[in-house]
Amino acid sequence: MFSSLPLAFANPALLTAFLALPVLWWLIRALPPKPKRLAFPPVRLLADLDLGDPPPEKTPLWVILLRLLIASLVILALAGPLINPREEFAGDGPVLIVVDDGWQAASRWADRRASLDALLLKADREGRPAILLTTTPPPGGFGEQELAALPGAEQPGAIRSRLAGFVPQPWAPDHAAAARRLAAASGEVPTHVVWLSDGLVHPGTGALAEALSRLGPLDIVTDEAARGPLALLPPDLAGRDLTVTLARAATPQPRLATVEAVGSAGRLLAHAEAGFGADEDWATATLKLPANLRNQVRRLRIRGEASAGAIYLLDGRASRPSVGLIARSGFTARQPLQSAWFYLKRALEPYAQVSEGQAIELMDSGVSVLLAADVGRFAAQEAGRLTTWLGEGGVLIRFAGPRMAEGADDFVPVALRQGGRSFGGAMSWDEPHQLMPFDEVSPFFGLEIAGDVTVKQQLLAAPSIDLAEKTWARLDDGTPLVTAERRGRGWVVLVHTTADAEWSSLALSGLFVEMLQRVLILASPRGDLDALRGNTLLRPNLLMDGFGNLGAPAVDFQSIRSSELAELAASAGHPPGFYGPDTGALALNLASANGPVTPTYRFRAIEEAVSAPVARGFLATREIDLGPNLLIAAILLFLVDGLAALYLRGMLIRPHWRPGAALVPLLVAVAWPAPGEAQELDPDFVLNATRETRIAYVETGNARIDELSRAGLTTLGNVLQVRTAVRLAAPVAVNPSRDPLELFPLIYWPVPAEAGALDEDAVARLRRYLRFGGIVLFDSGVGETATRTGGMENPLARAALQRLFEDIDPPPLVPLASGHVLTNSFYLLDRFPGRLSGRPVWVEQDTEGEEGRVSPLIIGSHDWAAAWAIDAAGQPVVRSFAGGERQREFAFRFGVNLVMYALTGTYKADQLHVPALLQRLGQ
Amino acid sequence: MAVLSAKSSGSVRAPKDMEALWHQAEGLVRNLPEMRARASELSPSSSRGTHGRRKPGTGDSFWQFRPFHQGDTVRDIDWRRSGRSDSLFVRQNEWETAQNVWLWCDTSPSMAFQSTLAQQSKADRATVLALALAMLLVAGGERVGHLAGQERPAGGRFGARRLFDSMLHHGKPTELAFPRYRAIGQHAHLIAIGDFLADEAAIEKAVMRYAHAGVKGHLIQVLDPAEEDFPFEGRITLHGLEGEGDHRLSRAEEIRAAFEGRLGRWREQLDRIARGVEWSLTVHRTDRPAQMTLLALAAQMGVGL
Repeated sequence: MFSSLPLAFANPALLTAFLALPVLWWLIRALPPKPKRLAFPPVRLLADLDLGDPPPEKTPLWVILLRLLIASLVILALAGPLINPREEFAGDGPVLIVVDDGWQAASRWADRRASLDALLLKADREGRPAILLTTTPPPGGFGEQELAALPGAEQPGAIRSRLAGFVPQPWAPDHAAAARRLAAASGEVPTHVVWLSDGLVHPGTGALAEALSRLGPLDIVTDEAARGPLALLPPDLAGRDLTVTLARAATPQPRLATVEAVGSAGRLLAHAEAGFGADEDWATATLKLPANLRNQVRRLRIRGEASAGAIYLLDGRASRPSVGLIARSGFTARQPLQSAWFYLKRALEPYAQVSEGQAIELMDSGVSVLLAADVGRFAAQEAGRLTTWLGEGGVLIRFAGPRMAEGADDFVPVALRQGGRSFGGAMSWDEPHQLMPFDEVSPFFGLEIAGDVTVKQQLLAAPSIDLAEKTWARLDDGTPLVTAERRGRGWVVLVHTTADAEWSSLALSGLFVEMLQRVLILASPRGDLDALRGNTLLRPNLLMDGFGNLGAPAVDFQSIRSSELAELAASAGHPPGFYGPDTGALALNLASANGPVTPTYRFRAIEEAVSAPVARGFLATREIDLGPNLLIAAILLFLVDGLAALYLRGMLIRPHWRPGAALVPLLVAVAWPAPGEAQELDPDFVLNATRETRIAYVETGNARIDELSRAGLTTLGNVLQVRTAVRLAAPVAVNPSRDPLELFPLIYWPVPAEAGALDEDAVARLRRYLRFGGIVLFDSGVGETATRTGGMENPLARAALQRLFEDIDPPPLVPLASGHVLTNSFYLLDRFPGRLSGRPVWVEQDTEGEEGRVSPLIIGSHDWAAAWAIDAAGQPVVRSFAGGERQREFAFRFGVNLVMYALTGTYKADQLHVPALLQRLGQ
Repeated sequence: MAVLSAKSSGSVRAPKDMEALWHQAEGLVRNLPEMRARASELSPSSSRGTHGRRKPGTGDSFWQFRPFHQGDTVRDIDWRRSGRSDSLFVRQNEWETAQNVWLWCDTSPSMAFQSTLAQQSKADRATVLALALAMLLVAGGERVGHLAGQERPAGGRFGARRLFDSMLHHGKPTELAFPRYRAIGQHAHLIAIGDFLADEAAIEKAVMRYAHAGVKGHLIQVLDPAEEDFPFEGRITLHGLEGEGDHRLSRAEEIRAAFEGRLGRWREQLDRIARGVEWSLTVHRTDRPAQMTLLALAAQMGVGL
């Protein structure tokens, strides 16, 4: 077909639908959207206005083009355009698809699935049956029948429907077995082979490639070289730091990988980077961990690499128990390098966290193993503590010695005979004794006994019925060398010889270290002796899948004998995971000295074993169906078309009538996170306003009112200076939408009846001012011509106030009445007149429960400034008004109280409590 | 988003709807006393009650005592005054007459317009204004009559209700933008409530006719906010409600300024016509409260509240 083009169509016949587009053009053009029809009574006024061009009768060109584009996209999408179309499969037999589904493929599984899906779709389109051959053995390994044949050819659709559960296995592919199956195949012969390889050489890869290429054209597809798999080699768990080696197939590109140490519940404890150099296939990383975290590591993994080979599980054997060495005279021998202390420390340090100290201190610090070398008797208080500690699961390991030979306490597993037994010495005929091989019930079972370990002296156990049962190791004459006994949940272990080289050479041998290691497992959290006993069956507990996720086993895998665990390699029969009881499960890892990932494991790229060309990279070779994307584009354009149609019909009316007005606040909100705060302050204004205490008045724009405000506040300042300690400088005129209000303790805000609503800026500033403790006196009586009010409020002034407060959201107000601090902050007042009087003055309630609170709002309409104002010549500006000079005096008193209130807050509220306090004192 | 639509309910309202408008008007009037202070400040000269004729006659307020003449009934003698002297005195009250106020509401189809910006159609608001005015006037001692009806003006307790009944029965839709001339006598007042969306010349002619007959008039122009603000955008077709034809616009927002100018000039014309004969013109928008318009008119007419 169009094999040379990067684009092809699955259903090219559908492209003929493009012939219908001209008809569509004509249809759309002939049927323009109708504008909205609205009733509008004063159309008469529009009669001879220039109304601009009337809307066109025909559909605008851009709408036609838009709709044709939608139609084209739909046609194209239905025709199934494909990018990177594959050539047709060769021949006419079934298509054989070989998939490597071992753990090596797990980390790039999605690529394989997508590729497999695409191949099956293509086979479906071409009407070819397909054979899916997976190279990795099923759980439990291949059966005889499976090995003798290939899977049957199926319809690709049937295979696809099964693919949902198709996941990689946590073991390696077996190419030799696959080649055998091919050789044994009968029936329909595949004519085209596609091999989705993991890019690595496995046993039998060459044979498989050869067998496949004999069938027909062979396409081998795998990942880009740089994205090959990573594996975690068996880590070195000895020592405090964890050294981890990573393997990859060598490529020229360097690569960086991160190794993570994960604790229980997935907690990340540490991570370290391992860098592969160019052409290097190994890299190491060292995880440095504090001692207390070191024991909490439950697994190691490579970050971002989801495969069973990138995870190493740690069990009780790998954790470092905390061990305490009891510091007694035994440890402080004359020669430190020959002392028991030194031998034990050197033997334990790689595997355990060793601390020293007194027994009680050590138990308090939470050690799980106590080592006591030649301690005869524990002191009474130590003994008590020791009993509880053993009950809680502690392990006490004691070594015999001269002191114990004198007599031991209860903390020994078997009764001891007094006095030591020596052989092979100068005073003895006996040869020093060697160890007898460990029997099956012993935790030491399987350890190799070096021939040079000899025991010259030992403590003998008194015979008892259960002595054999308690014995873990014997000398070749049958006398116990190591005995142990369960105490509560803990253990008491006695080595019947010394921990130094005095009585035996055991402490000098490697066996000593290995034996101690085995005993330490008893103390680890998962440690349980049963898990190590010879013939215990460890059933699969949690097993990994190919991606390295642990889960309950889905298939019945065979249990493992505990004695075999040490030699076992993870395989299709025994997948990696945890085996054994919940409390002491042991880990089986892919990475292990027994294989499959040995400490010397190396990946080899498939090109080394296969002569056929290998296509690297799934994406480059994948067919991409553009159909769904085109359909989505068509749907989006269809929505655009809907909006366009609405617009053309006049249905899109913005909420605000001014064009663009709705957008402006939005833009401002985006561009200015905090409008009003970003504005610059005029430093002169600020300095002037704050150098002395000033009160401010708001300019109304009405010259007479502004002059009255200024004069009134100036006079009030003079009055305050004469009568009180308050010194006010000249008042400042402010514009609420421009000037910073928060510089003033009090603002006089005249509201003439013609005042309009505040702009947004002013609202924001006023709100902030009020919230942060400012006080505003709103006076809606200014400019009023009335001289007597009769207690009535002016509705026009009230309307002006309402306009002003529309966006302020004032708190609930109450009429100012006696008891409010404002009535007694300096003078005791019962009325609050200005030029006018008798109207209510509104304030916020000044107490809320016991809390005093300053009312930020004082609202009245007494035209106070007019009453206060006295001109330069000492003459009142407003000569006379109803109440006369007496009323002017009261106006001043109100002003004094007001300023006091603004400056001192509810300080005077305390006075209200004076009667109550006095009464209480009197009692 | 305010997608504008015009409801055009039938002009003849169901009695139940009318009843709702009556209650709305009552509510309006009930809430007015709060604003008395303001009204009195606006028109300090407005006198309360009926209009004294400065001569003795029937009325409630005292005018003068005069000596008893032959022919006076004994009942008229003011005995308290007479007891203070030897002669008999008769108490005379001032002759008070009530004003006749004729109300007219536009019932042309364009009044049924209501955009989504307003709470009420123009016709409903006009009816509420008329009823509320009637209630105020009657309470002030005047008589109110329905210009389109057949009954004579009536005052007293049922004056407003009779106007209401008349509006109910004679509120049929007309094409008239201004009331046709009807002899209602000198010194009568005419309150015309409508949108006056008609030819200026026709309106001027009708106004002059009434003015020459000595009628004092008040025009209340009721407009929908959409009619004043022209809040249209984009491609629309506008059509009138009285068969004015369609106007097709590509970009409605572009002619807003021109329309507003046209509306302003047209209102100036109306104002000129009204002022020329010393009538008043009040503009009312249906999205604003009716109280202010009511108060303004009451102040102009000197109706005591």
